[in-house]
Amino acid sequence: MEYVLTTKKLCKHYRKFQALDNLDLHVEKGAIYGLVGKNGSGKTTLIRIITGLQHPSSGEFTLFGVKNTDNAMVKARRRTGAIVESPSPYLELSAQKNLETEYDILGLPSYDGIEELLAIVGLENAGNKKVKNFSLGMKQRLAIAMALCSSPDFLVLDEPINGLDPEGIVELRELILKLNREKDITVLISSHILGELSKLATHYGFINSGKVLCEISAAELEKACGKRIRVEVGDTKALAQVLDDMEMEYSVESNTVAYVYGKLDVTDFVLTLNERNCHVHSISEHDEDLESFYINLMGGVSR
Amino acid sequence: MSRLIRVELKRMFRDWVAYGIIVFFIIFAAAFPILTVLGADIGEEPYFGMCHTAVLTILPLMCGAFAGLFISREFGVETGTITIRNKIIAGHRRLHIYIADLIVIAIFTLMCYVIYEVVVFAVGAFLFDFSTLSSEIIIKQLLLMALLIVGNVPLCVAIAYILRNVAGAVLGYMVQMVLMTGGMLGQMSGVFGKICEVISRFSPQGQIQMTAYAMPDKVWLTILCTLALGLAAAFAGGLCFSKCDLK
Repeated sequence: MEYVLTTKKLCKHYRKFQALDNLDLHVEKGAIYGLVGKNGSGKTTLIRIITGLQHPSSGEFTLFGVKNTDNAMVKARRRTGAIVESPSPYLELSAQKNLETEYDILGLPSYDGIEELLAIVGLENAGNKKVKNFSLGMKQRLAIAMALCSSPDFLVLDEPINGLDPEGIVELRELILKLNREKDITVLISSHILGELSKLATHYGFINSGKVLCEISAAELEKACGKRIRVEVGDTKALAQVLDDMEMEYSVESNTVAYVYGKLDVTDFVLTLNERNCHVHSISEHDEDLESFYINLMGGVSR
Repeated sequence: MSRLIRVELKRMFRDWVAYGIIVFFIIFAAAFPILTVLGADIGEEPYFGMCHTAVLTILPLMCGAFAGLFISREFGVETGTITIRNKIIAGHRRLHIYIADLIVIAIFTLMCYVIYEVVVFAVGAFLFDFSTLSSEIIIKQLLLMALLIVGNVPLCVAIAYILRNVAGAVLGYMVQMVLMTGGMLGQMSGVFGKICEVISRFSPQGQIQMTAYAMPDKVWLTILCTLALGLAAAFAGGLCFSKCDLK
Protein backbone atom coordinates (compact mmCIF):
# COMPACT_ATOMS: atom_id res chain seq x y z
CA MET A 1 0.00 0.00 0.00
CA GLU A 2 1.42 3.40 -0.98
CA TYR A 3 0.79 6.18 1.51
CA VAL A 4 1.03 9.90 0.90
CA LEU A 5 0.92 10.68 4.62
CA THR A 6 1.53 8.58 7.69
CA THR A 7 1.94 9.67 11.28
CA LYS A 8 3.45 7.60 14.05
CA LYS A 9 2.88 8.38 17.72
CA LEU A 10 2.58 12.05 16.86
CA CYS A 11 2.26 14.28 19.91
CA LYS A 12 1.76 17.99 20.31
CA HIS A 13 1.26 19.80 23.56
CA TYR A 14 0.84 23.46 24.34
CA ARG A 15 2.14 23.79 27.87
CA LYS A 16 -0.20 21.45 29.81
CA PHE A 17 -2.75 20.94 27.03
CA GLN A 18 -2.23 17.78 24.98
CA ALA A 19 -3.56 18.57 21.48
CA LEU A 20 -2.25 15.39 19.82
CA ASP A 21 -1.70 12.23 21.81
CA ASN A 22 0.27 9.45 20.07
CA LEU A 23 -1.72 9.96 16.89
CA ASP A 24 -1.36 7.32 14.16
CA LEU A 25 -2.88 8.10 10.78
CA HIS A 26 -2.53 6.68 7.27
CA VAL A 27 -3.62 8.47 4.10
CA GLU A 28 -3.47 6.24 1.03
CA LYS A 29 -2.42 7.58 -2.34
CA GLY A 30 -5.46 8.55 -4.40
CA ALA A 31 -7.80 8.69 -1.41
CA ILE A 32 -10.15 11.41 -0.29
CA TYR A 33 -9.53 11.11 3.42
CA GLY A 34 -12.19 12.62 5.64
CA LEU A 35 -10.89 13.71 9.03
CA VAL A 36 -13.80 13.71 11.44
CA GLY A 37 -13.77 15.04 14.98
CA LYS A 38 -15.39 17.58 17.23
CA ASN A 39 -13.98 21.04 17.94
CA GLY A 40 -10.68 20.84 19.79
CA SER A 41 -10.13 17.21 18.87
CA GLY A 42 -6.79 18.02 17.18
CA LYS A 43 -7.71 18.15 13.48
CA THR A 44 -6.32 21.61 12.80
CA THR A 45 -3.23 20.98 14.95
CA LEU A 46 -2.50 17.89 12.87
CA ILE A 47 -2.92 19.88 9.63
CA ARG A 48 -0.69 22.68 10.95
CA ILE A 49 2.04 20.15 11.73
CA ILE A 50 1.79 18.47 8.32
CA THR A 51 2.02 21.82 6.54
CA GLY A 52 5.03 22.94 8.59
CA LEU A 53 3.34 25.72 10.52
CA GLN A 54 3.96 23.96 13.81
CA HIS A 55 6.49 21.47 15.09
CA PRO A 56 5.50 18.17 16.73
CA SER A 57 6.43 17.78 20.39
CA SER A 58 7.33 14.13 19.73
CA GLY A 59 6.60 11.34 17.28
CA GLU A 60 7.06 11.54 13.55
CA PHE A 61 5.27 11.72 10.25
CA THR A 62 6.15 11.01 6.64
CA LEU A 63 4.96 12.94 3.61
CA PHE A 64 5.47 11.19 0.27
CA GLY A 65 7.72 8.79 2.14
CA VAL A 66 9.95 11.56 3.50
CA LYS A 67 10.37 11.75 7.27
CA ASN A 68 9.61 15.10 8.90
CA THR A 69 13.17 15.35 10.22
CA ASP A 70 14.74 14.90 6.75
CA ASN A 71 15.94 17.90 4.78
CA ALA A 72 13.97 16.60 1.80
CA MET A 73 10.73 17.44 3.65
CA VAL A 74 10.89 20.94 2.15
CA LYS A 75 10.68 19.40 -1.33
CA ALA A 76 7.89 17.05 -0.26
CA ARG A 77 5.90 20.05 0.96
CA ARG A 78 6.18 21.62 -2.49
CA ARG A 79 3.93 18.81 -3.72
CA THR A 80 1.27 19.88 -1.23
CA GLY A 81 -1.43 22.54 -1.43
CA ALA A 82 -3.30 23.55 1.69
CA ILE A 83 -5.96 25.68 3.27
CA VAL A 84 -5.47 25.85 7.01
CA GLU A 85 -8.47 26.94 9.09
CA SER A 86 -9.15 30.25 7.32
CA PRO A 87 -8.12 31.71 3.96
CA SER A 88 -4.86 33.67 4.00
CA PRO A 89 -4.68 35.93 0.95
CA TYR A 90 -3.22 39.46 0.93
CA LEU A 91 -6.30 41.57 1.57
CA GLU A 92 -4.93 44.69 -0.15
CA LEU A 93 -4.34 42.83 -3.40
CA SER A 94 -6.82 41.61 -5.98
CA ALA A 95 -7.50 37.91 -6.57
CA GLN A 96 -5.40 38.07 -9.74
CA LYS A 97 -2.46 39.72 -7.91
CA ASN A 98 -2.75 37.23 -5.05
CA LEU A 99 -2.43 34.36 -7.48
CA GLU A 100 0.49 36.11 -9.21
CA THR A 101 2.19 36.45 -5.79
CA GLU A 102 1.57 32.76 -5.11
CA TYR A 103 3.06 31.91 -8.51
CA ASP A 104 6.09 34.04 -7.62
CA ILE A 105 6.45 32.32 -4.24
CA LEU A 106 6.34 28.96 -5.99
CA GLY A 107 8.81 30.16 -8.61
CA LEU A 108 6.58 29.34 -11.57
CA PRO A 109 7.95 30.70 -14.83
CA SER A 110 4.80 32.45 -16.09
CA TYR A 111 1.33 33.45 -14.97
CA ASP A 112 -0.33 31.10 -17.45
CA GLY A 113 -3.11 29.22 -15.79
CA ILE A 114 -4.30 31.98 -13.45
CA GLU A 115 -7.40 32.69 -15.53
CA GLU A 116 -8.18 28.98 -15.62
CA LEU A 117 -7.77 28.76 -11.84
CA LEU A 118 -10.09 31.73 -11.32
CA ALA A 119 -12.64 30.08 -13.59
CA ILE A 120 -12.33 26.74 -11.76
CA VAL A 121 -13.23 28.38 -8.45
CA GLY A 122 -15.85 30.66 -9.98
CA LEU A 123 -14.00 33.95 -9.51
CA GLU A 124 -13.45 34.77 -13.17
CA ASN A 125 -15.50 37.99 -12.83
CA ALA A 126 -13.88 39.10 -9.57
CA GLY A 127 -10.21 38.76 -10.51
CA ASN A 128 -9.46 42.49 -10.24
CA LYS A 129 -11.50 43.17 -7.11
CA LYS A 130 -9.54 43.71 -3.90
CA VAL A 131 -9.78 40.71 -1.60
CA LYS A 132 -10.70 42.89 1.41
CA ASN A 133 -14.05 43.44 -0.34
CA PHE A 134 -14.66 39.70 -0.82
CA SER A 135 -17.24 37.70 1.12
CA LEU A 136 -15.95 34.79 3.23
CA GLY A 137 -17.12 32.37 0.56
CA MET A 138 -15.19 34.24 -2.14
CA LYS A 139 -12.08 34.27 0.05
CA GLN A 140 -12.49 30.54 0.54
CA ARG A 141 -12.69 30.01 -3.22
CA LEU A 142 -9.58 32.13 -3.71
CA ALA A 143 -7.78 30.12 -1.04
CA ILE A 144 -8.61 26.95 -2.94
CA ALA A 145 -7.26 28.51 -6.15
CA MET A 146 -4.08 29.47 -4.27
CA ALA A 147 -3.75 25.92 -2.95
CA LEU A 148 -4.03 24.63 -6.52
CA CYS A 149 -1.36 26.95 -7.95
CA SER A 150 1.40 24.41 -7.44
CA SER A 151 -0.59 21.63 -9.17
CA PRO A 152 -0.28 19.65 -5.94
CA ASP A 153 -0.30 15.87 -5.58
CA PHE A 154 -1.72 16.22 -2.09
CA LEU A 155 -4.38 18.72 -1.13
CA VAL A 156 -5.04 19.47 2.55
CA LEU A 157 -8.31 21.24 3.22
CA ASP A 158 -9.26 22.30 6.73
CA GLU A 159 -12.98 23.01 6.90
CA PRO A 160 -13.13 24.19 3.28
CA ILE A 161 -16.93 24.37 3.25
CA ASN A 162 -17.03 27.10 5.93
CA GLY A 163 -18.63 30.24 4.57
CA LEU A 164 -19.72 28.72 1.28
CA ASP A 165 -23.32 29.01 0.12
CA PRO A 166 -25.20 25.81 -0.86
CA GLU A 167 -24.33 26.31 -4.52
CA GLY A 168 -20.68 26.85 -3.59
CA ILE A 169 -20.67 23.67 -1.50
CA VAL A 170 -21.92 21.62 -4.43
CA GLU A 171 -19.35 23.24 -6.76
CA LEU A 172 -16.52 22.61 -4.29
CA ARG A 173 -17.59 18.99 -3.90
CA GLU A 174 -17.59 18.51 -7.66
CA LEU A 175 -14.21 20.24 -7.91
CA ILE A 176 -12.64 17.99 -5.26
CA LEU A 177 -14.05 14.87 -6.92
CA LYS A 178 -12.82 16.08 -10.31
CA LEU A 179 -9.31 16.81 -8.99
CA ASN A 180 -9.19 13.44 -7.28
CA ARG A 181 -10.46 11.43 -10.24
CA GLU A 182 -8.93 13.27 -13.17
CA LYS A 183 -5.65 14.51 -11.70
CA ASP A 184 -5.21 11.76 -9.13
CA ILE A 185 -4.79 14.28 -6.33
CA THR A 186 -4.94 12.79 -2.85
CA VAL A 187 -7.12 14.90 -0.57
CA LEU A 188 -7.16 15.21 3.21
CA ILE A 189 -10.29 17.08 4.21
CA SER A 190 -11.54 17.94 7.67
CA SER A 191 -15.14 18.95 8.08
CA HIS A 192 -17.90 19.15 10.63
CA ILE A 193 -20.51 18.74 7.95
CA LEU A 194 -20.64 14.96 7.96
CA GLY A 195 -23.42 14.69 5.38
CA GLU A 196 -21.26 16.58 2.90
CA LEU A 197 -18.16 14.59 3.80
CA SER A 198 -19.99 11.31 3.24
CA LYS A 199 -20.59 12.35 -0.39
CA LEU A 200 -16.86 12.76 -0.96
CA ALA A 201 -14.66 10.65 1.24
CA THR A 202 -13.24 7.29 0.26
CA HIS A 203 -11.62 6.88 3.68
CA TYR A 204 -12.33 8.23 7.15
CA GLY A 205 -10.26 8.92 10.22
CA PHE A 206 -12.18 9.60 13.43
CA ILE A 207 -10.23 11.70 15.88
CA ASN A 208 -11.00 12.57 19.49
CA SER A 209 -8.83 14.16 22.20
CA GLY A 210 -5.84 14.05 19.88
CA LYS A 211 -6.12 10.32 19.15
CA VAL A 212 -7.33 8.47 16.10
CA LEU A 213 -10.20 6.29 17.33
CA CYS A 214 -10.75 4.50 14.07
CA GLU A 215 -9.61 4.55 10.44
CA ILE A 216 -11.99 3.01 7.99
CA SER A 217 -12.65 3.02 4.25
CA ALA A 218 -16.00 4.14 2.90
CA ALA A 219 -16.68 0.57 1.76
CA GLU A 220 -15.87 -0.82 5.21
CA LEU A 221 -18.00 1.85 6.81
CA GLU A 222 -20.92 0.86 4.61
CA LYS A 223 -20.54 -2.73 5.76
CA ALA A 224 -20.08 -1.74 9.39
CA CYS A 225 -23.12 0.49 9.39
CA GLY A 226 -25.94 -1.83 10.36
CA LYS A 227 -29.61 -1.09 10.08
CA ARG A 228 -31.21 0.95 12.81
CA ILE A 229 -34.82 1.15 13.76
CA ARG A 230 -36.51 4.45 14.43
CA VAL A 231 -39.16 4.09 17.12
CA GLU A 232 -41.64 6.84 17.94
CA VAL A 233 -43.41 6.25 21.24
CA GLY A 234 -45.42 8.16 23.83
CA ASP A 235 -42.74 7.87 26.51
CA THR A 236 -39.07 7.12 25.85
CA LYS A 237 -38.41 6.44 29.55
CA ALA A 238 -40.60 3.35 29.37
CA LEU A 239 -39.02 2.48 26.04
CA ALA A 240 -35.54 2.74 27.58
CA GLN A 241 -36.52 0.36 30.40
CA VAL A 242 -37.84 -2.19 27.90
CA LEU A 243 -34.71 -1.92 25.74
CA ASP A 244 -32.45 -2.23 28.81
CA ASP A 245 -34.35 -5.40 29.81
CA MET A 246 -33.89 -6.71 26.27
CA GLU A 247 -30.17 -5.75 26.41
CA MET A 248 -30.48 -3.80 23.17
CA GLU A 249 -28.30 -0.88 22.06
CA TYR A 250 -30.17 2.34 21.49
CA SER A 251 -29.97 6.10 21.48
CA VAL A 252 -32.68 8.46 22.62
CA GLU A 253 -33.17 11.41 20.28
CA SER A 254 -36.04 13.19 22.03
CA ASN A 255 -38.90 12.57 24.48
CA THR A 256 -40.71 10.57 21.81
CA VAL A 257 -38.06 9.27 19.37
CA ALA A 258 -35.30 6.71 19.83
CA TYR A 259 -33.09 4.61 17.55
CA VAL A 260 -32.56 0.93 18.22
CA TYR A 261 -29.51 -0.85 16.81
CA GLY A 262 -29.37 -4.54 15.95
CA LYS A 263 -32.07 -7.11 15.20
CA LEU A 264 -35.36 -6.60 16.96
CA ASP A 265 -38.31 -8.95 17.39
CA VAL A 266 -40.92 -6.34 16.59
CA THR A 267 -43.94 -8.33 17.87
CA ASP A 268 -42.42 -9.03 21.32
CA PHE A 269 -41.10 -5.48 21.47
CA VAL A 270 -44.50 -3.88 20.78
CA LEU A 271 -46.32 -6.25 23.15
CA THR A 272 -43.88 -5.49 25.97
CA LEU A 273 -44.27 -1.77 25.42
CA ASN A 274 -48.03 -2.21 25.44
CA GLU A 275 -47.77 -4.02 28.82
CA ARG A 276 -45.93 -0.99 30.19
CA ASN A 277 -48.63 1.35 28.87
CA CYS A 278 -46.24 2.86 26.33
CA HIS A 279 -48.01 3.76 23.13
CA VAL A 280 -46.13 3.04 19.88
CA HIS A 281 -46.75 5.68 17.20
CA SER A 282 -44.46 4.33 14.49
CA ILE A 283 -41.57 1.97 13.77
CA SER A 284 -39.42 2.32 10.68
CA GLU A 285 -36.08 0.89 9.51
CA HIS A 286 -33.18 3.23 8.63
CA ASP A 287 -29.66 2.68 7.36
CA GLU A 288 -27.04 3.95 9.80
CA ASP A 289 -25.09 6.81 8.24
CA LEU A 290 -21.75 8.47 8.87
CA GLU A 291 -23.28 10.74 11.47
CA SER A 292 -24.72 7.96 13.59
CA PHE A 293 -21.53 5.91 13.16
CA TYR A 294 -19.58 8.91 14.44
CA ILE A 295 -21.97 9.48 17.34
CA ASN A 296 -21.80 5.82 18.32
CA LEU A 297 -18.02 5.90 18.12
CA MET A 298 -17.90 8.93 20.38
CA GLY A 299 -20.09 7.16 22.90
CA GLY A 300 -23.53 8.36 21.79
CA VAL A 301 -25.40 11.56 22.45
CA SER A 302 -27.68 10.09 25.09
CA ARG A 303 -28.06 6.52 26.27
CA MET B 1 15.77 32.59 -1.41
CA SER B 2 16.24 34.94 -4.38
CA ARG B 3 12.67 34.06 -5.31
CA LEU B 4 11.44 35.21 -1.90
CA ILE B 5 13.44 38.44 -2.17
CA ARG B 6 11.85 39.16 -5.56
CA VAL B 7 8.36 38.41 -4.21
CA GLU B 8 8.81 40.70 -1.21
CA LEU B 9 10.30 43.55 -3.23
CA LYS B 10 7.38 43.31 -5.64
CA ARG B 11 4.87 43.21 -2.81
CA MET B 12 6.53 46.11 -1.01
CA PHE B 13 6.18 48.39 -3.99
CA ARG B 14 2.54 47.46 -4.42
CA ASP B 15 1.92 49.09 -1.03
CA TRP B 16 1.28 52.85 -0.85
CA VAL B 17 3.01 53.01 2.56
CA ALA B 18 6.39 52.43 0.85
CA TYR B 19 5.77 55.42 -1.40
CA GLY B 20 4.54 57.43 1.60
CA ILE B 21 7.83 56.83 3.43
CA ILE B 22 9.85 57.76 0.31
CA VAL B 23 7.90 61.02 -0.04
CA PHE B 24 8.46 61.70 3.66
CA PHE B 25 12.23 61.28 3.20
CA ILE B 26 12.24 63.64 0.22
CA ILE B 27 10.42 66.32 2.24
CA PHE B 28 12.62 65.62 5.29
CA ALA B 29 15.81 65.90 3.20
CA ALA B 30 14.65 69.11 1.51
CA ALA B 31 13.43 70.74 4.73
CA PHE B 32 16.49 70.37 6.98
CA PRO B 33 19.04 72.36 4.94
CA ILE B 34 16.46 75.14 4.54
CA LEU B 35 15.65 75.16 8.26
CA THR B 36 19.36 75.15 9.15
CA VAL B 37 20.02 78.19 6.95
CA LEU B 38 16.88 79.98 8.18
CA GLY B 39 17.99 79.38 11.78
CA ALA B 40 21.43 80.87 11.03
CA ASP B 41 19.90 83.88 9.20
CA ILE B 42 17.87 84.96 12.20
CA GLY B 43 20.99 85.03 14.29
CA GLU B 44 20.59 81.74 16.03
CA GLU B 45 22.84 78.75 15.95
CA PRO B 46 22.24 76.43 13.01
CA TYR B 47 19.19 74.26 13.44
CA PHE B 48 19.56 72.12 16.59
CA GLY B 49 23.14 73.38 16.70
CA MET B 50 24.09 70.94 13.99
CA CYS B 51 26.85 71.58 11.51
CA HIS B 52 26.26 71.27 7.78
CA THR B 53 27.88 67.85 7.60
CA ALA B 54 25.41 66.61 10.21
CA VAL B 55 22.46 67.80 8.14
CA LEU B 56 24.02 66.22 5.07
CA THR B 57 25.02 62.87 6.48
CA ILE B 58 23.88 62.19 10.04
CA LEU B 59 20.13 62.74 10.02
CA PRO B 60 19.30 59.88 7.63
CA LEU B 61 20.12 57.58 10.52
CA MET B 62 16.44 58.20 11.24
CA CYS B 63 15.90 55.90 8.25
CA GLY B 64 16.26 52.98 10.62
CA ALA B 65 13.46 54.19 12.87
CA PHE B 66 11.08 54.87 10.01
CA ALA B 67 12.00 51.66 8.24
CA GLY B 68 11.24 49.96 11.56
CA LEU B 69 7.70 51.31 11.41
CA PHE B 70 7.37 50.11 7.85
CA ILE B 71 8.85 46.70 8.61
CA SER B 72 6.51 46.11 11.50
CA ARG B 73 3.55 47.22 9.47
CA GLU B 74 4.49 44.95 6.59
CA PHE B 75 5.32 41.89 8.63
CA GLY B 76 2.72 42.66 11.26
CA VAL B 77 0.21 42.55 8.44
CA GLU B 78 1.81 39.41 7.04
CA THR B 79 1.92 37.45 10.27
CA GLY B 80 -1.33 38.99 11.53
CA THR B 81 -3.25 37.94 8.43
CA ILE B 82 -1.20 34.76 8.34
CA THR B 83 -0.17 35.22 4.73
CA ILE B 84 3.34 34.23 5.80
CA ARG B 85 2.16 30.63 6.01
CA ASN B 86 1.66 30.57 2.23
CA LYS B 87 5.44 30.65 1.93
CA ILE B 88 5.94 27.86 4.47
CA ILE B 89 3.27 25.67 2.88
CA ALA B 90 4.91 26.34 -0.50
CA GLY B 91 8.00 24.65 0.88
CA HIS B 92 10.29 27.52 1.81
CA ARG B 93 12.54 27.13 4.83
CA ARG B 94 11.67 29.48 7.67
CA LEU B 95 15.24 30.72 7.93
CA HIS B 96 15.22 31.60 4.21
CA ILE B 97 11.96 33.51 4.66
CA TYR B 98 13.48 35.43 7.56
CA ILE B 99 16.76 36.23 5.82
CA ALA B 100 14.94 37.26 2.62
CA ASP B 101 12.81 39.70 4.61
CA LEU B 102 15.91 41.02 6.36
CA ILE B 103 17.60 41.64 3.01
CA VAL B 104 14.51 43.30 1.51
CA ILE B 105 14.17 45.69 4.44
CA ALA B 106 17.89 46.48 4.34
CA ILE B 107 17.53 47.27 0.62
CA PHE B 108 14.50 49.48 1.28
CA THR B 109 16.23 51.30 4.14
CA LEU B 110 19.38 51.87 2.09
CA MET B 111 17.20 53.13 -0.75
CA CYS B 112 15.61 55.67 1.60
CA TYR B 113 19.13 56.70 2.65
CA VAL B 114 20.24 57.19 -0.95
CA ILE B 115 17.09 59.22 -1.69
CA TYR B 116 17.78 61.40 1.36
CA GLU B 117 21.38 61.99 0.31
CA VAL B 118 20.51 62.81 -3.29
CA VAL B 119 17.85 65.33 -2.22
CA VAL B 120 19.84 66.86 0.65
CA PHE B 121 22.94 67.38 -1.51
CA ALA B 122 20.80 68.82 -4.33
CA VAL B 123 19.12 71.32 -1.98
CA GLY B 124 22.33 71.88 0.01
CA ALA B 125 24.20 72.83 -3.16
CA PHE B 126 22.11 76.02 -3.33
CA LEU B 127 22.33 76.83 0.40
CA PHE B 128 25.71 75.65 1.72
CA ASP B 129 29.23 76.55 0.79
CA PHE B 130 30.52 73.09 -0.05
CA SER B 131 34.09 74.38 -0.45
CA THR B 132 34.31 74.71 3.35
CA LEU B 133 33.43 71.05 3.84
CA SER B 134 35.96 68.27 3.90
CA SER B 135 35.14 65.70 1.24
CA GLU B 136 37.04 63.09 3.24
CA ILE B 137 34.84 63.60 6.31
CA ILE B 138 31.69 63.61 4.18
CA ILE B 139 32.63 60.33 2.48
CA LYS B 140 33.62 58.73 5.78
CA GLN B 141 30.36 59.80 7.38
CA LEU B 142 28.30 58.60 4.41
CA LEU B 143 29.91 55.17 4.66
CA LEU B 144 29.55 55.13 8.44
CA MET B 145 25.87 55.99 8.18
CA ALA B 146 25.26 53.32 5.54
CA LEU B 147 26.83 50.77 7.86
CA LEU B 148 24.94 51.96 10.92
CA ILE B 149 21.64 52.01 9.01
CA VAL B 150 22.07 48.43 7.80
CA GLY B 151 23.34 47.39 11.23
CA ASN B 152 20.17 48.66 12.89
CA VAL B 153 17.75 46.88 10.54
CA PRO B 154 17.97 43.40 12.17
CA LEU B 155 16.77 44.78 15.51
CA CYS B 156 13.59 46.19 13.93
CA VAL B 157 12.98 42.97 11.96
CA ALA B 158 13.57 40.81 15.05
CA ILE B 159 11.11 42.83 17.14
CA ALA B 160 8.52 42.68 14.35
CA TYR B 161 8.92 38.93 13.94
CA ILE B 162 8.98 38.12 17.63
CA LEU B 163 5.94 40.25 18.48
CA ARG B 164 4.27 39.52 15.13
CA ASN B 165 2.12 42.64 15.06
CA VAL B 166 2.18 46.38 14.50
CA ALA B 167 2.75 46.93 18.22
CA GLY B 168 6.29 45.73 17.54
CA ALA B 169 7.01 48.91 15.63
CA VAL B 170 5.81 51.13 18.44
CA LEU B 171 7.79 49.11 20.97
CA GLY B 172 10.94 49.24 18.82
CA TYR B 173 10.66 52.97 18.46
CA MET B 174 9.94 53.46 22.18
CA VAL B 175 12.94 51.34 23.15
CA GLN B 176 15.16 53.57 21.01
CA MET B 177 13.68 56.74 22.52
CA VAL B 178 14.01 55.45 26.08
CA LEU B 179 17.62 54.43 25.43
CA MET B 180 18.40 57.85 23.97
CA THR B 181 16.72 59.73 26.82
CA GLY B 182 18.39 57.52 29.40
CA GLY B 183 21.74 57.97 27.70
CA MET B 184 21.36 61.74 27.49
CA LEU B 185 20.27 62.12 31.11
CA GLY B 186 23.01 59.81 32.28
CA GLN B 187 25.71 61.66 30.37
CA MET B 188 24.41 65.06 31.47
CA SER B 189 24.23 64.14 35.15
CA GLY B 190 27.45 62.18 35.07
CA VAL B 191 25.70 59.28 36.79
CA PHE B 192 26.49 55.97 35.14
CA GLY B 193 28.21 58.04 32.45
CA LYS B 194 30.16 55.13 31.02
CA ILE B 195 27.14 52.82 30.92
CA CYS B 196 25.05 55.54 29.28
CA GLU B 197 27.75 56.11 26.69
CA VAL B 198 27.78 52.39 25.82
CA ILE B 199 23.97 52.37 25.54
CA SER B 200 24.15 55.38 23.23
CA ARG B 201 26.62 53.57 21.00
CA PHE B 202 24.07 50.76 20.48
CA SER B 203 21.06 53.01 19.96
CA PRO B 204 20.54 54.76 16.59
CA GLN B 205 19.18 57.77 18.46
CA GLY B 206 22.29 57.87 20.62
CA GLN B 207 24.46 57.52 17.54
CA ILE B 208 22.77 60.55 15.98
CA GLN B 209 23.42 62.50 19.13
CA MET B 210 27.07 61.44 19.24
CA THR B 211 27.80 62.08 15.58
CA ALA B 212 25.68 65.19 15.04
CA TYR B 213 28.48 67.52 16.09
CA ALA B 214 31.54 65.63 14.89
CA MET B 215 32.70 62.16 14.01
CA PRO B 216 32.31 59.87 17.03
CA ASP B 217 35.41 59.63 19.15
CA LYS B 218 35.72 55.90 18.65
CA VAL B 219 34.26 55.09 15.23
CA TRP B 220 35.41 51.49 15.44
CA LEU B 221 33.59 51.03 18.76
CA THR B 222 30.34 52.47 17.41
CA ILE B 223 30.57 50.20 14.35
CA LEU B 224 31.42 47.21 16.49
CA CYS B 225 28.54 47.84 18.89
CA THR B 226 26.04 48.28 16.03
CA LEU B 227 27.21 45.20 14.16
CA ALA B 228 27.25 43.12 17.34
CA LEU B 229 23.71 44.19 18.16
CA GLY B 230 22.62 43.61 14.55
CA LEU B 231 24.07 40.11 14.45
CA ALA B 232 22.64 39.23 17.85
CA ALA B 233 19.21 40.52 16.81
CA ALA B 234 19.34 38.67 13.46
CA PHE B 235 20.33 35.45 15.23
CA ALA B 236 17.67 35.81 17.94
CA GLY B 237 14.93 36.74 15.47
CA GLY B 238 15.84 33.93 13.06
CA LEU B 239 16.01 31.37 15.86
CA CYS B 240 12.72 32.52 17.34
CA PHE B 241 10.93 32.40 13.97
CA SER B 242 12.37 28.96 13.17
CA LYS B 243 11.13 27.50 16.44
CA CYS B 244 7.80 29.24 16.87
CA ASP B 245 4.38 27.76 16.17
CA LEU B 246 2.29 29.62 13.62
CA LYS B 247 -1.45 29.58 13.23
